[in-house]
Amino acid sequence: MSARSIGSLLLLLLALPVAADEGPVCCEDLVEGPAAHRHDDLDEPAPEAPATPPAEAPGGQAAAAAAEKKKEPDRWFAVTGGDVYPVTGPALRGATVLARNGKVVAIGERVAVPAGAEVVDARGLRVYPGLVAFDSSGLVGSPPEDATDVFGLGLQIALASGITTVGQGPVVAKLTWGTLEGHVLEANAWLRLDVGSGQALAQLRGELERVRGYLRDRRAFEQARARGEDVKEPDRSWLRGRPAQLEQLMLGRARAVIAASGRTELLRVAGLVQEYGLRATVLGGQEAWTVASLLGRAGLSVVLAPRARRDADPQLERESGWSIESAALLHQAGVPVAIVPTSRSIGTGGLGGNDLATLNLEAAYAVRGGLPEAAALEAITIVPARLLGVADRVGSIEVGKDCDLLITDRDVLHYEMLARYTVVNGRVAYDKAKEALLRAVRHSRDEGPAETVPQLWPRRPGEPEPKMPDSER
Amino acid sequence: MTTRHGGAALLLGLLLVVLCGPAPAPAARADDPGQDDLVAIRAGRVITVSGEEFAPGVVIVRDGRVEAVGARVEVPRRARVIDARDGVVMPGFVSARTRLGLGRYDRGGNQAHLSAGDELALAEPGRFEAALSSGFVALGVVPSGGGVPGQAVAVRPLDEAPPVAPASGPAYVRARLSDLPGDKRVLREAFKAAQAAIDKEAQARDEWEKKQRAAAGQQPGQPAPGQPAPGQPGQPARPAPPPQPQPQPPQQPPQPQRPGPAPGAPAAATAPVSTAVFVPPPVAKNLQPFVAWLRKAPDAPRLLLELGSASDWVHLADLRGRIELPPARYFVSNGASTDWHRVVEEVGAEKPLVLVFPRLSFEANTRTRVHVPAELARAGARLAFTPVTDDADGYRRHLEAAALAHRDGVPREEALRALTLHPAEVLGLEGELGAIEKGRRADLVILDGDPLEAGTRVTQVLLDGKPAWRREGGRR
Repeated sequence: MSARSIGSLLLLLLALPVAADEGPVCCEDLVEGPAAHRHDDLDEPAPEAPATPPAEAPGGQAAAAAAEKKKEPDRWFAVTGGDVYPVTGPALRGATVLARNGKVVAIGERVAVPAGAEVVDARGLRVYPGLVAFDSSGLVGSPPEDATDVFGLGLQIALASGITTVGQGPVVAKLTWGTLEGHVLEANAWLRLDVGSGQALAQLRGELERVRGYLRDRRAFEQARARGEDVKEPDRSWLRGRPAQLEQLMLGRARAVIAASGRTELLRVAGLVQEYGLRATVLGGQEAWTVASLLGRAGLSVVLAPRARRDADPQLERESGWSIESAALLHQAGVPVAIVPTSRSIGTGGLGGNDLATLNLEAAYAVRGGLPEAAALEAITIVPARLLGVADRVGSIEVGKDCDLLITDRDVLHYEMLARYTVVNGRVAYDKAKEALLRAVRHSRDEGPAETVPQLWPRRPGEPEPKMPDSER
Repeated sequence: MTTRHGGAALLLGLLLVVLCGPAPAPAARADDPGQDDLVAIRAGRVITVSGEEFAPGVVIVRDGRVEAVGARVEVPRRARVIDARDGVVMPGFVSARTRLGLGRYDRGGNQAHLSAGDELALAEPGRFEAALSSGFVALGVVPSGGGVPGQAVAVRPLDEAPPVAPASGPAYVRARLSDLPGDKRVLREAFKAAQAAIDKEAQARDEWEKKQRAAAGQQPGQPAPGQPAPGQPGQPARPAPPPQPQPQPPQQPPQPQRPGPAPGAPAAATAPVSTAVFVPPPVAKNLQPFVAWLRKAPDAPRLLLELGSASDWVHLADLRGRIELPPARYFVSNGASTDWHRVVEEVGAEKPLVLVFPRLSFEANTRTRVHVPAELARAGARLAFTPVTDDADGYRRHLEAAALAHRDGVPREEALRALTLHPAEVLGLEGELGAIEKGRRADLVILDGDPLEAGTRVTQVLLDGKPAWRREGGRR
């Protein structure tokens, strides 16, 4: 068995929990109240699978009937008539996505929309899941629930670029515009490990060894107690703070993120995670393509900035430095790849095309290097969602997941792609026609002529100075 | 635009000069030396703000308070007459939030027990000159800093800064919710600590009651000490507590959500430390307002919440979801670039009293104009204008700024109230100042034209009906 096929196998295994319900995406079998309630409370890591595929149920009406029994009025939201690209399933032409209280309850071509629902007409538009940025900076406050500027310019630009979920450090937050409801998805998605130097690695090994020793003692203790022996419980008073986090990591309940870009570091990481059985993600990984199969075998995933440069070392006889093919080669080796831009913040100073606002173009750049388009789309949706541990909520359009959508008139990887609408938690968080930001930009004829310029920002060269307010105002 | 304005002002000036004719001799007052405690103001127009306008009108002032106002009010013969028949009389302006003449410092955390009044002695003389000469009769002086920097006091714009209403306590407690996450944390933690103090007292009271009951159980038939009207022993009745005379500092909020047995007043007066009287555990001074707010005490201080941007409003709503905040007045900091337009409907729906700069803004990051005060007024908020810059210049331009705000969409009545009645209400002086009504203080301003016409100037300011400032050098 080649390394590559082992890698693919590993990828399959990794994808399994989510793939379980990645069958044809369609209507929830909405029959009665309890069934309709199922998805309201998603605490489990994996979304429940609709047992039966398609069966175009009369979803909307049944659900509406169920809703009437409830006291609080349900908040219905529907996107109708768009071409739906769920990422984890086949595309549906002219389909409707129906959400109740922010969760998708039905997807299909003949979904009835309950009366009173907020409806976005997406005829002629494409509907994607909201994009997920594994790493970002400056969009989310610290702590998010106390400090995010929910009307911030950066937030709006990110929404205009189709991004609905961002990681900022280990915090995962939704870009909820104008509300803090449902803002924080995950307060502590991962633990950072440092293997940047031999010393750091040695220290980390020491810590891991100590935790491993404890876990071994613990298991011995439990076995002895099961046999009825009178034994002393191993001391766990020291397991606080970081050691406790490492314990969670070694028990497979947490995820690690390790910054590594050079081949040496990457091999170190691969060795470490294999030795201790850690679930880990590599952040950076410019030279990961040179050891792709090794990383795949170690079960590592990579968060890659496809345009982050690293010069090749001419002294070496092996391959080194960055490559446009990085993402493609890693993907071939079965390494899950999430894509982030080189600059993780939203730049408003003319950084066009190199920051978070152009997340989709980073993915498109990986396509230029040979990554299949489907994989590129996954690399900015479902893969980062999985790596952040929030794939039960975001990353694809599926029944039971959050209704986070990017609605646009272009292919998501197209360089002209701008969100027409961005939906977060079943609410329109960005409407291009209503916000001055990009209202004047016209790519498609059916958007009609742009408004007169003096009302808009920025003023174009040669346009007259806007008039100051008249006394009639 | 400037030229247009200038033209308008010039035209208005000319018109006024033509209409009014030569200025009346400033000796009018000397001609009519009536009694000092009885003043009659004859005005071309009287704007009462709270009621109708009289043109012409007369205001009678006795002992510093308005006795009568109307078009056909008889002027008592003894009265000293102030002749403003070519002018407009209206209530003096109020600035509810200022640091005029005081230094700036950054105080953080919860300092709700500190008062800006303590700083007033430090400031140099003449610092309120600009305010007085611009028609202001009351200033709410606030402490500087973030978090909960302390209490504001209402003073008159005179050198010795006398309080507007003696012994009225703090005008309000100032709290800021704009430098996130710090301010939000300060507020949340203060309320949390206050709740803990309330719980602690309830627990102490429970224990005290248990002891009392135990004592009563040992001596059946005898009323438990400190229980003047005992129920059945062992089954203590819980009557609604009568108003309790407390041997406690006056700041002590009134007692309990949990009704307890009333301590006998004589016992309380005689026994300093006795189990007979429940002595609540002391509450930190800076938590006392918060405890009062949580208990919804009727004498709880007013709260002014300062919000920087629309996002702060959302964070306030989030805070409200966790803590039951007291009803508050808001200070909406609408800068030259603002995003308040995004939440005006939500703010207005609450019908709150909002301190706001009378200014036109740009919607953040756009060239689209928005007049936040006008939008707020339309949405239902009651406005109180605060000078755009908190310095002499801001005060001098305040009336003109209000006139421009009216031009830009604030209704006339709202603009007039935003100058006078509403800021007075922010300071808790709604019955004292802000309108010309019988019984209110005669703190008035005489203008040379309509207050909401650009170019109108203050010619005279009266405090308690007595001239406190007069424009020198005649008229324009």
